[in-house]
Amino acid sequence: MGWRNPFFQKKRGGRSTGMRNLAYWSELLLSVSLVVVGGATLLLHIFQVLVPDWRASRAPAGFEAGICEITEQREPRRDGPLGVIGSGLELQASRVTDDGKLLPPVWIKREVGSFSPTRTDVEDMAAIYAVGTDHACWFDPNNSSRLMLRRPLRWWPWPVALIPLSLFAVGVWGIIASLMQVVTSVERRSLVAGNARRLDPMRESSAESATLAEFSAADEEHGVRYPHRLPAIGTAGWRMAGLMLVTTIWNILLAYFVYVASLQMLRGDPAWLVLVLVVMLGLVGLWLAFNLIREFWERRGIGQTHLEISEHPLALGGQYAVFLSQTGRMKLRRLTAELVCEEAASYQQGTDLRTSVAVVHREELGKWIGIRVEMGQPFEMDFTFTVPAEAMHSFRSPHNEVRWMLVVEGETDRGQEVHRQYSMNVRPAIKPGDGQQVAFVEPSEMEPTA
Amino acid sequence: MTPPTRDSNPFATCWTNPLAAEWIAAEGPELGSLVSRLQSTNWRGQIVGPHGVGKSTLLAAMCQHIEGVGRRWVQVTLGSGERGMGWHQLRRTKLTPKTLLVVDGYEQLGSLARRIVRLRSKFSDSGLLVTAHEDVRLPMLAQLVPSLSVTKMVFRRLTFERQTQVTELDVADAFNACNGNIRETLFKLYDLHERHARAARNANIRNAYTVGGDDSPIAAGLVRD
Amino acid sequence: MRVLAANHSPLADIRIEKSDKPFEPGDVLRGSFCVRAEHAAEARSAELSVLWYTAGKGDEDFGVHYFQRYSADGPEAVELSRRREFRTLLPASPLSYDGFVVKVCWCARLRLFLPRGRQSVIEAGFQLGRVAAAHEPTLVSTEEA
Repeated sequence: MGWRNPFFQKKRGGRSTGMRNLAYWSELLLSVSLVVVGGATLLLHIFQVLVPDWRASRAPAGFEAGICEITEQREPRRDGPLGVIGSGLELQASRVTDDGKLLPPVWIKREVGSFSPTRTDVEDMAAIYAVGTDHACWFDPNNSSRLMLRRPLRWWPWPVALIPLSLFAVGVWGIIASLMQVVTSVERRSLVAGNARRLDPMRESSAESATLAEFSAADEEHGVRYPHRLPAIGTAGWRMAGLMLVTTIWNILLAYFVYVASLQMLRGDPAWLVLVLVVMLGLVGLWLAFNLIREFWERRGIGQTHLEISEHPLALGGQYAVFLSQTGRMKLRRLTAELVCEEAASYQQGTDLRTSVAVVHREELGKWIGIRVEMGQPFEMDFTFTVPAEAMHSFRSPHNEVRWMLVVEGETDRGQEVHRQYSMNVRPAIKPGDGQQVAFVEPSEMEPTA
Repeated sequence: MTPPTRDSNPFATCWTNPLAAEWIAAEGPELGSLVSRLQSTNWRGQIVGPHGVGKSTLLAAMCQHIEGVGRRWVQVTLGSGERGMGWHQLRRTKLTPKTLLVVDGYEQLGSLARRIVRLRSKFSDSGLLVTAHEDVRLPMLAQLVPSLSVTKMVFRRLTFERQTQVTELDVADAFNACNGNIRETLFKLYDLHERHARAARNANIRNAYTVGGDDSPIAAGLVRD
Repeated sequence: MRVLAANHSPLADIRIEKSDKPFEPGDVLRGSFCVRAEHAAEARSAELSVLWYTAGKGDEDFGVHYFQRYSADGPEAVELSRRREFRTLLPASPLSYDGFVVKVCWCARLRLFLPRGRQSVIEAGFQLGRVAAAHEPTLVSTEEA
């Protein structure tokens, strides 16, 4: 997880600049608040929900099944861990013996319902266990004062515990990472492989993997007009879905605390700890909601861009037909499709790890102006292009890459920008005689040199 | 058509990386005296200087000398983006009184991690040699500062056996544009060399068209170089 | 490790036939090498590889296409001063490429193992395919990973 607060640390060219100390302390503060919020919520959930549920559902060892009659109800009130007054239900029940007699009644406190800040739960439970009604129960044959009412186990409180638990875990990890200033890295595997190769005594005999860039089967999709739909690079949809999920979970948590705080305020007994939590959660929730709305605003009306191609992989010098489809509801000032080839080289110099990218081929394949896209009426266009015959094919090795892509760019009349990239695999042209199995030919010995 | 090789650009990474580049002690102490000083400080020391000034290159050169005096060294590089890996290595590295722990990019560690590394090295009685951007409270071996004259010497060494149209005037311009960062300067010179090479190639092709006439192989695009 | 061009090494000689023109994928690459007679006794073993490597701004990657080891000692000892021929079918890719930040280079490489752990590397380059050199880029950007 790469912590580094983006507000305080910016990338300028190849270097991170900005207020490192402020970034460090803001990270630490965020992590501590996550630990506090996650830990408090987790404890509350464990002691108020999970433990009573577990106790109620536990198989009563040594107990025997029987029938009991509810003889009395009472509704005690008590302070919860955050100062919230909760209500509960206690029942008095008498066991009915096999011959129909009622044994002396006993109070059953824990097995019915947990203390809850709302009386609705209590009222629902009281209706089920009304005075005079018979219920299945468990009793201790050696102690007539031990009586339990059976209650089915609820499943949902257990996965719900994952929400505060994950907040707590993320916070703890953040604190450790901030203190140790260590981060995991996407480059790690590459470096391990590099080190292993450097350490390999048979360095030259360790064959490298194929260098023609490949696409996995998961990337391949069938098109409607043409056989292949090109995979988009870095879809923004996932980012938005992730942001939406985080915002939703966060604000559900916020709503819960607002509810608890409001109850206390209405009773004229505000719980300050809850209010502090509400303010902290609220600020983060607002920031998340603001980002989500901004993301939506920037993308409103812009639908999906699909590119289908007549053949894939491509060959140098080959000519291909492309079908472009732009959905959504907008007016585009312009839309362009370009064929782009770029080189990317990553390198470690001293303690820096950098990637240099050079665009070595850019060719406009089509430009359309003043396009209106309506729901159900996407903008559709066919065009063809030729991959330059003398250009380099797609190439990928651990630190170097030559990549081909189709780039669709546009601008709506609201000033929104459309920028989508679709990767393609370009192979060397196949010539007659190519494709034969590469074989090693035994070397021969010649005469010694003079 | 000349096949591309690593000699195609004298400023390619294979020539400028710390392991390939030679240390130039034009304005600083000689390697031998640095190693002697490290020995005198019980194998504890730091090399301090800004980004791209040559700390890693000096470190690589020193390590070769250190081997020469029979000391075993273990290097851990803490680059940006791979600190986790470096820290993992640091924790796993076995330290003995005969080991010299070499940490390139010591400033990447937080204060707690630095303390742990120092304590480990102290308790195991191993040496500790680090590079950092600022003083990390170890005996100072060398404090490097950017120098145009050193950069020009690096340029001369790189271009001694490999031709380029880049001039020393370009070196000075790039050095100033990169605020004295020698590594950035070399990258700028790499780009400049590539641009010069392409301009020269295009000029050759244009001349060939003029000289060769319409039916020459050059004009027909068969010869590019 | 300093890498010497084929015509610069006093230790050995490595040649590729018809390397003045580009080879095509599927062509047979023919070449030969020998350790110079005055240094033959010094070389303990030799490794001959045909490989591609990357050069430019990125860290070097490489892939070995053909590899043969020769030893002056042991049961299969050979005389390294004899000129030895090697032949291999060239693969379809990667093709030689003179890019702006990425270059793909092919060569035949001879690595000599000398006494006291010393090594000497001699290379003879060749071109595979006829990929044109990259144009001057419209954009060069650098970012920290």
